[in-house]
Amino acid sequence: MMVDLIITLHKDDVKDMASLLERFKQEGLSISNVTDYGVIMGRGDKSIIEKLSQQKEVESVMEDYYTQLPPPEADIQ
Amino acid sequence: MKAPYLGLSSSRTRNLTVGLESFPSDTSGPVPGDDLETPLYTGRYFLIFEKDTKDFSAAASVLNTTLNTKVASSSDFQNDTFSEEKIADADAFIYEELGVALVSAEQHQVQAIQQQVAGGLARIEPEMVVYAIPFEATEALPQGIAAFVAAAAPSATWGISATGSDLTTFTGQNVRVAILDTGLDLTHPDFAGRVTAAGQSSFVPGIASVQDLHGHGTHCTGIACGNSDPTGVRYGVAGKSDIYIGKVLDNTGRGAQSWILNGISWAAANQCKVISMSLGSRVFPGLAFVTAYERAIASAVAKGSLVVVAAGNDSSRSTGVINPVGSPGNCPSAIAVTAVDIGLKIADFANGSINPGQDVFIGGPGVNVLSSWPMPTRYRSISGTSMATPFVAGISALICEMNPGFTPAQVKGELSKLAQSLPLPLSDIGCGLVKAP
Repeated sequence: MMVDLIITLHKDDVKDMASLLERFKQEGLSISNVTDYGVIMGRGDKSIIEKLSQQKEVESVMEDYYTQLPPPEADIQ
Repeated sequence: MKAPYLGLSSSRTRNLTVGLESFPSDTSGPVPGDDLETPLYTGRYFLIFEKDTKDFSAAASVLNTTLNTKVASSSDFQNDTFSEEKIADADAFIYEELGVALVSAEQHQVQAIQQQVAGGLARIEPEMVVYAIPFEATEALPQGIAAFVAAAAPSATWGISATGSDLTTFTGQNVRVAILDTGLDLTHPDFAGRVTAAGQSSFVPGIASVQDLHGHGTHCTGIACGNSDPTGVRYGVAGKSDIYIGKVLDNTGRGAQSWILNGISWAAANQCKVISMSLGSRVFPGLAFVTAYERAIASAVAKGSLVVVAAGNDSSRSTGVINPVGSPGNCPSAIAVTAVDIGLKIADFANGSINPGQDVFIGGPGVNVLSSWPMPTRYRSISGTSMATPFVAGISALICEMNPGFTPAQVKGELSKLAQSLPLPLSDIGCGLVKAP
């Protein structure tokens, strides 16, 4: 199943972003955005979460998730 | 006309609030939260006229035509004693001395009235039944029409007054404030000319415009960066700040973490000194903050942006439930904001400092807060830590104007220094109620 992913690199490894992105692509990650603070957004099969998590440069991998406000008519927002 | 006295129309409440003030009423009804079917609106509408309106005859004529019924006016009672019975057959009553009409009408009739009453009409608001959290000051409030006069003609909302935002000479001029939310109603007259093309960006896939079809973003923008309504009531803090609108939530109020991260990056890259985020997800006790959020917020702070985030509304303190600060407000680099009511008590819904290191930093007005809402409604009062957060954002902009060289850490220190101590636990209120410099 394809999922949207948020990958955070260890701070010390952000400098190696270019080579890491290449490696992640080879793992099957389709990259949509890269930040200068070491967070990478992309999409891939759910099975790559474990593979990416095991890489020493990766601090965390999580599926993108949604936040939801109450509906407009709600009194508490 | 079932009940001519504004705000005294329901027998189901114990403290009815209309607009900004509370009116002691029937004490036999349920307390807030007792009844999920408790009504929010009475079904009637206030037509609020421009401050200097003297002649209401044209408006009376439109009301008469549209509603096809009798229109009564306070001028009818200049030499007579007012009583409910005398206007029982009227569907509209004009309080000429207040510049307000109270109308029993269907929504389509209200829209017709709005179109036909050409000049002089400042706004239309549904008459709200708001169940005030009981506080001691309620007992001392005057009753009846005299109380409405006081409530109808304030110079500022209670939140603006409580934070001293109406007393400062600072306006947030030349300070960029980013509101990351559902967007802004770009047709709202209060924001005409306030948002440049460079100051707006949507991060919601498939939606190019920042136009707000939800309302939440327009409300939050109004509190942080708005000014006054046409009647002169001040509702916004930093009225001359440069508004940056990042649409990170779609028009249903839903937003992906990636959209929010992109919004934070955009605001920081655009040198916004303050980033306001009235959004978040529930966090359970024992959970850590999200690393990606912390990294994004820490990066924004390093670039000179103070990041202010709502603490969340997941608690029910009246039933003993206090939940932790939500995400991303729980990030160490964020300023987490809680909400207080007009009695400066902590809001029933407000989250608290439960998880170690994920603390509430400061509080702002967050119950019954009047601000802008997408047209044609124009203004609306709602509650939440979402409303408290832009008060802190707006006041942070004032601090930045006063001290252009301040770093986010220095702004944070100044917020703490200026805050009004409240007799509440540190875990609830942090350093206190936010106050303007």
